[in-house]
Amino acid sequence: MINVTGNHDTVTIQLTGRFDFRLIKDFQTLLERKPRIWIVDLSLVDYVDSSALGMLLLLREQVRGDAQRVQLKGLHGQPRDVLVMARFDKMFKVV
Amino acid sequence: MEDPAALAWIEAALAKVVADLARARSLLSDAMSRLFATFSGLRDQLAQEHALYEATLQEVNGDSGLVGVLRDVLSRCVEDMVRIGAGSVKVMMEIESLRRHAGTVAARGQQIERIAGTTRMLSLNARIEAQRLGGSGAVFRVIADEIKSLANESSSLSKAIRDALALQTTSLTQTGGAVSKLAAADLDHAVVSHKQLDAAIARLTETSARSLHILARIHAEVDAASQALQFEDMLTQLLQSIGDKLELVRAACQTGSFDQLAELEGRVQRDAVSQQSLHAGAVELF
Repeated sequence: MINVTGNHDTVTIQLTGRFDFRLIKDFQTLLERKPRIWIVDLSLVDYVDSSALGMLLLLREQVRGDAQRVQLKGLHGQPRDVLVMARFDKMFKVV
Repeated sequence: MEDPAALAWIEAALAKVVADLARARSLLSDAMSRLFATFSGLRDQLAQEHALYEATLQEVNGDSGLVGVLRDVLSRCVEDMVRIGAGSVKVMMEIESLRRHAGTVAARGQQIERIAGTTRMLSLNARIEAQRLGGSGAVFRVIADEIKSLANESSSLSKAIRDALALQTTSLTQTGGAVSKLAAADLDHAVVSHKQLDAAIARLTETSARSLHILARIHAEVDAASQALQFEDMLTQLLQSIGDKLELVRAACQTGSFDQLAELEGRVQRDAVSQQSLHAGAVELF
């Protein structure tokens, strides 16, 4: 499940449960927005697959690779293990 | 001491004892040489084993070693999976865009069909009107037939487009399904492999440290044993001293002159305070 809040400056994406390929359409719609900062809250996510990493990379592409403009929040458990293994903690700002 | 026979017997006995002492010295020297050689070889073997072990550890733990290679392979594998995931997400988004476009085209097709239907109605009305006018309406009838024919053609074309779009949509759905499987790669196995590798490295490091510690202890023990073998010097000198003293006694028995025995007494007293054990410090020469 995905819940989006925010304004022109900062958009927070609150995800719940599995962050996987089923959210691709939602992300496609999301990418039409152009905030200065994206915050992806993963505190309620218990599973991510490779497409989740792909979606995060697309957010990063949208802000031209600026690690400070895509922030990952609430990393824990399997999502943290996967993201750290893929070195996303070096490519994104982890808060 | 005055009995020459007794002195001769003692002298003969001492001569045998002195000869036995010489044999004992020889046997001891031979045994000690072998022991030295054995310990020396053991020390060399230990040094070689230590060097070999260090080289093996380097092969395993070094940057280009087995562990480094495994980490590299695993990292590349994860990078590939992430790349495939990102690529698949893009493809799925493109497929979704194509679906939307197909929906837009299908809606236009329906508009065209509605226009064709209206046009057919108009041509029918024109034909009825031409019929009512009789001979003067012949031209209208031809035009009405032509318009009807165009409307039918437009309708057929629209149906063909609709069918093609339906096929394309089916194909896009199937492609999307296949790509979503690529996009949804489970990374848990890679995470588990990473953790297993880290645990194996930790175990290997601990075992290596223990093995090196044991090797160092064996080396120290061998060094201590080699040092302990210095008792050969002491024992040889002790045996030599015993032999010398016995020679003095034997000579006294042989000559019947016991004046030199005072010197013997002095040496016995001096030796009594000499080296008593290997732990008493440096080897003391007699």
